[in-house]
Amino acid sequence: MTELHWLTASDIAAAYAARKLSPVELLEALLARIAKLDPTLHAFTQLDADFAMDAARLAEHELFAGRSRGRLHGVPIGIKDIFDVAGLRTTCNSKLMLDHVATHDAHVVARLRAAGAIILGKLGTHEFAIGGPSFDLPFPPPRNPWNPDHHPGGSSSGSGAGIAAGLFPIALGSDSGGSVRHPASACGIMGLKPTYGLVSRTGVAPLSFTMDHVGPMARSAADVALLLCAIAGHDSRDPGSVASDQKGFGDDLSLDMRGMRVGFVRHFHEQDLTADPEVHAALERVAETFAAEGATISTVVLPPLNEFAGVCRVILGAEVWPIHAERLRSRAGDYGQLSRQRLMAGAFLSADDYLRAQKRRSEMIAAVDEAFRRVDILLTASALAPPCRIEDADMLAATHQLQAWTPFNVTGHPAVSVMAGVSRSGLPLSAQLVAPAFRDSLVLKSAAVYERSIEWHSLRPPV
Amino acid sequence: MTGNTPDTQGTDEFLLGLIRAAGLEKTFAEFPADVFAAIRGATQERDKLPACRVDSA
Repeated sequence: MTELHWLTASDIAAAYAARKLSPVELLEALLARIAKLDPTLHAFTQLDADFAMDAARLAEHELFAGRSRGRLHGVPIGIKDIFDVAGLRTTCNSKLMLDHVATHDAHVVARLRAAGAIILGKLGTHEFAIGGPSFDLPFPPPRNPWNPDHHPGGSSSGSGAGIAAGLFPIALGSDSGGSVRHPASACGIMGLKPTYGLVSRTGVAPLSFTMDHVGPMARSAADVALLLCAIAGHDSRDPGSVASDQKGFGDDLSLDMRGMRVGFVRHFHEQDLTADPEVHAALERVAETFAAEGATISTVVLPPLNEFAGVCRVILGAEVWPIHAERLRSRAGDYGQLSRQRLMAGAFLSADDYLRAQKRRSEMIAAVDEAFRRVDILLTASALAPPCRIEDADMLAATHQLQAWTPFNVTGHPAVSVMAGVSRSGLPLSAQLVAPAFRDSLVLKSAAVYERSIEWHSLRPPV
Repeated sequence: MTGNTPDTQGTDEFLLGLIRAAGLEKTFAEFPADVFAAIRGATQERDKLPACRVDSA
């Protein structure tokens, strides 16, 4: 059998079903790996090993008594530290929240518990999912397992680093401007920003109520689909939640690409911004892979990236400011510097700015929907450069906007970041696949086709 | 907002008015550079917004 820490959630479910593995045995292996690697990687803000072991024993008892709750039963998972997990602190990696102990589970966490998943603990994040990576916060920033001197992406940094390092097979992240897809891209795993409204945000610290998404992260398309199955569904407590009839995301990931129409959005990385040459070449290889599978590739033009970025940041800034206004007036010193700067920007935006951004947003949604009249999926860049060194503040600032994630926070379409190679310096490269709204299953099937066609998903970081 | 990039040398009544309107005088006293960075950030993002009609559907 593969080393236990590299088993996917799907592998684990199969091994449990065949009685070849027990939840306690798996958890012991993962806790040993966490003890070995996390002092360097800092994926966790809180590890709840005792609780996890109790849950593993219970899962073992239930599974071996034939009372399986489904394929996540007994599977360990990490939770970004902006989600409420009853009994644990929701720190948001902020001095302002260090004493905040959640009394209830976030909606998605409750669904995972009901499915029998084993919650390992809370994972590293930028402060309030916006201010980072920073060294002036309660917890140090997570490191990239491919090279701990480099940024693992953010803000779901611990989720990406921990999955890539084999500390756990699956995790939850959140994505308001790329915060699932950035760490997925930087750490060489898969991260999905689902369709807006498909997954509840109740119990998750908000940034932007019209652009926040909860997203699954894993090392395979099958695992992303498995996790999405568990967390998707209507929640009347989340005003953005949509009653969708999408079900069974992981039941069948097979897809015949013959006749599929792939729209390649080249201008994002060729004109609007300039991608690193290795990223450019990786994207061409992804297109060639789909073509070899029988898809037709055409060029699609969308609004320019900088317009998407402006709309995204104006809306996010305006929506996040009221959440933090009082504390920024009275306790500004308790924020990290990056959070302070980024959160206060909203104070200097007007209703006119917000409305103009929302108006342009409606045109952008229509433009992407129109593109989907001509193609089935979109292929775009994800990160436009490999992850930079984490202590190089100038490079972090310079590369902060070298990405193509914000368009789909603005439009709400489902978008997945997939690994697309390794740079000469040994760091992951990535691509992004996008589908029509509420066709999350199509974007995952396309990712699965790509995953099966290349060898990258079987590569592991040198940890 | 003028769209000009403010700096700590160029504080004028207009900018101080914005800061007062936001209730950030205390924060400005403690972290002037961060408040200016926030104003600069808002200006830059606003400037990326394309011209679009808001008087029609």
